[in-house]
Amino acid sequence: VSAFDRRCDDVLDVMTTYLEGHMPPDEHTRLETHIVYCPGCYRFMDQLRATVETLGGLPVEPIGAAERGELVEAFRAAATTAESP
Amino acid sequence: VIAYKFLRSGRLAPFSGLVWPEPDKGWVEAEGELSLCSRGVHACRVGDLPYWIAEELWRVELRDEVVEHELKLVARRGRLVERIASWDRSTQERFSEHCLRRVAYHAAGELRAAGLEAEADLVERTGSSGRPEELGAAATSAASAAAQGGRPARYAGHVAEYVVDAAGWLDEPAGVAYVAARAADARTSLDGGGDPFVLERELQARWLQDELGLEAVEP
Repeated sequence: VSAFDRRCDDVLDVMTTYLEGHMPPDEHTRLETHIVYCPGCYRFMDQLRATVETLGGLPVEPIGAAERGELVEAFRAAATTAESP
Repeated sequence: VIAYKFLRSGRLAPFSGLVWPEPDKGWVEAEGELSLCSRGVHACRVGDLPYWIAEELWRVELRDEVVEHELKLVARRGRLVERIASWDRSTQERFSEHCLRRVAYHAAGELRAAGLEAEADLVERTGSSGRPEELGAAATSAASAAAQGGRPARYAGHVAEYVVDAAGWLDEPAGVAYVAARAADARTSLDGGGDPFVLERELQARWLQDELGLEAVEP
């Protein structure tokens, strides 16, 4: 496969990195040249961008110390479970 | 520097979502340090065009800093100069058809290399003079016949299926052009060096340059 070619799976995997502007220039260009001819990936990019913009406009609600602690514990427990063989 | 830029209908930039100002109605300017990706005005040399095909093609003027990059130019400032009117629906259809026939050329070559002479002849004949739907049918038939053979024949049949893909995508010149480059890349029987995908894109750029009368870009 040519170095200039990208598949949809590869593009979808890195779309968030692309939209955040953290992608190396060559990869950035090759991802965009895929989106030019791929209506499905273009739609996905559009929807993801709209979602990020919409959610980014929501007001940030403060979280209490107790709730924060519970959430941290829950994430830790989930991560430990995920790492178990 | 005078260069080129593809935009979606309504002067819409496909990635930034920016609607470009009409000619003589203002410049688009990048702020801060120029970045190859997110900050800068992007435009094409002739050879870059097949990678960025869209509904509208514009001649653009770039000013101040202009940096050459793989598949694009990045500049500090740019403005639309004029729309290239000859990149209309009719030319887009002819370009799609040209790309479809290139896919047929690659499929016929691969079928022939696999010993499927009759199927290669059929795809080649309809590829040079048949209507797109006839070409799609010929490729379907060739792919079915190839599926009964050994591994090289089955692979050649797989390349023939690119013709069917391309024939179904004629309304999307960017898509057909991509399939042509993929078909070239899929060939096992091409002579010569270089990346077949890139070489096919170069042929497409030459077609666009000749048909649209585009001048070379000199950054």
